[in-house]
Amino acid sequence: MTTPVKKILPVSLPLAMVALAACAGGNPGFPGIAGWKKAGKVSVYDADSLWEHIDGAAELFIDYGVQTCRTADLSSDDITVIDGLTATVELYDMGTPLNAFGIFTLESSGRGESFPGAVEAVISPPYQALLLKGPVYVKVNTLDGGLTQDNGRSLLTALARALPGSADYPAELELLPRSGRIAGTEGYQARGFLGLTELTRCLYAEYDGTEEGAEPWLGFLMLPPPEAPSPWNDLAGRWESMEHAGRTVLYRTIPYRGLVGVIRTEQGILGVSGAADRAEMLHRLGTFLH
Amino acid sequence: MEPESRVSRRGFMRSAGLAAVGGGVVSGRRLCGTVRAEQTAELKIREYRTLGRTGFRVSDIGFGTGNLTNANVVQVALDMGVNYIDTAEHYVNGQAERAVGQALRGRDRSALFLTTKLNLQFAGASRTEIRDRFFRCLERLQTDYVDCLMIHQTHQVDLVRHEAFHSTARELKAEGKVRFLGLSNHGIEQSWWGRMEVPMEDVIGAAAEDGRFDVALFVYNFLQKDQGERIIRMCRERDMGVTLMKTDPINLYTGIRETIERNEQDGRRVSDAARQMARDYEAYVARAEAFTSEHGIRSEAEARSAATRFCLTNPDVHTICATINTFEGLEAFVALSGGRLTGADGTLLTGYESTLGRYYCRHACGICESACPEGVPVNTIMRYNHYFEAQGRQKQAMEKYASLTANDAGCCADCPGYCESACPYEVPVRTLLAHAHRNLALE
Repeated sequence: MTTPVKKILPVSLPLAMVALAACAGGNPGFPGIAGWKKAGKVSVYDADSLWEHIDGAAELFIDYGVQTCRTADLSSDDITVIDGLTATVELYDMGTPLNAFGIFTLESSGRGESFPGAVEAVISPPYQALLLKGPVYVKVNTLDGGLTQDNGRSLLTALARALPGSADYPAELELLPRSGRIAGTEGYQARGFLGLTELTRCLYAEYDGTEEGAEPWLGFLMLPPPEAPSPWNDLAGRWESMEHAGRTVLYRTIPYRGLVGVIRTEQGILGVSGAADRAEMLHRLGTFLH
Repeated sequence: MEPESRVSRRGFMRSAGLAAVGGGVVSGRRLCGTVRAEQTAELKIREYRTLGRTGFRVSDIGFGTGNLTNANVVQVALDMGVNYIDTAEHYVNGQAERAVGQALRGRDRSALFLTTKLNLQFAGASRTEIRDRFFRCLERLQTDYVDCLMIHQTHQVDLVRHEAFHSTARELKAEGKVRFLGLSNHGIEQSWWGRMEVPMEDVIGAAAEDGRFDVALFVYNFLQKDQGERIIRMCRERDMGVTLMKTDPINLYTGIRETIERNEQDGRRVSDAARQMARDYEAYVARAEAFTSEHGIRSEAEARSAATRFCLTNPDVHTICATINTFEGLEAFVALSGGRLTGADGTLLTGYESTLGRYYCRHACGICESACPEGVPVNTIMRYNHYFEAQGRQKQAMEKYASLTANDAGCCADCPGYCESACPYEVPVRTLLAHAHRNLALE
């Protein structure tokens, strides 16, 4: 993944959603992809039927607010260039660019790279390519293992052109502190961040250690839930508490991951993890704040 | 779905102490600066069962990885004695396998039973592809072998006899890469390739007959027990390992009374059947309240725990694959290890089944749909009504209902009820559909 801060999504989601609906023709259709033709029928799933398509893997998509998944087999019109590739394309409408970004970064293991007309893409011959654009996460599977860098790029380019939505990163990423942030490590986890039920809607990234030779560490911002009280009080009821530099710090130990600590800011709840002791945790929080 | 924890979080936290530096993953990525902990959690698996003819003693609570993103949760599960891990190549697009692989580092691999799955519902699944995909699984899992390789989503009998799979599996077994074979199935469903009409027991039965499968993963719970118990018997006769999913069907009909009252206030018709359903429910609640008070059951989560204990009570069930991604969920499930249906649980579940089980339109059943001359998509409408009543997603449910391309349930009120005649569980389908229509169509 390249530097996400370079292009941030303006407030264009409503337009994108309208465009997506228009693209689908207002029905469970599949957008036309230039140079590719649909083979077989289009299938459409929603949050509660997605398991019928991908079984247990659906749970993660539901956590990320999947709205619909449209699938179709596409085959290339140009067999000389594309070598007759047939691919199964899954279009996951995740509702928001942030949700789509979150599941894309999870499923691509952070290997995404910038891609023309889209936010990011990953081509992983011979079976799979992934694309992120606006609120849509695209998975391309080639069941016969025929995917190459070239035909994968050709198909992703056509998909990027056909799909509505912004090619910018979700605006929320701007909320993560920039100083020390390691480009390409950003992600978003909707639930169970670090294995903790209480950590939801967490943007995260790795940050450089301030001292020479220091290990990078993980910083995160817990976004406030829409139309619900701040989770701060819930955390305060569960975690240990201490005062530091005029602020309340909540913290706890995570098995195999050291200490995690959070403070409350205007943007949300800022946190650091992986600290060996309280001193390191407080140092990281201080660095993160400034 | 992970249940609520009944274990003190802080007590659990205090049980973990820090030790040497190690690594972990979140979101499939390497995390820097993580700290390895020596886990000394008090919660432990209390029962191990022999997984059929594999001979392996597996924990009665297994670790399902459908949404796994936190490797350290797996590490703690292993510390607690969980030794059955169920994953698949496409869970989190392979990242679940990577997280498991991270967690297995430095562990005694022979102490674990590791299952992964390949989806073969593709016409082009050749030996070469199956082999290649399997080795990618091994690479992600950072292991030399898996204990069980399953066919994922085996919804057709033909898949049981997938010769490319079996010939590849023979090679992999000879190479020491796979020890046993298995298959998973979660019932009749609408699928990518059209409606699969083959019942779960036909598919698992075919696998048992086939003789090449050692382990099965399927649906069994106290409201859907008949078919599940037939499958369990078939597996026992063939000494196959029995692993379960979807063990918790509990869905309280808390909205029924409110819906009736609202309809009455709005001057809408309320059927006798709906009123009877509400009376049943109220009687059940009254009994349940007395019962839960007497037996100290404080929440719906505890009723869900009883549902898990129901499955564990069957000695021919070997492990329950609980989907886990947080410490809280892990604690809640491990706390159930060794559980049996107590008299109290039995009363609760019996009450639940006798009172509300009749109103439980079985998940992904669809048996009645072919009997409907109007082609009403019964399961789909029931699901939308579930959003409306149980999940509080009224607007979304109504939008979905309005966008149905098939017939809605508007015709059900005046229908003789062909669906009810077809339903083997005696669910009052027509009444439920009419009730759903009133909710969803605001009529």
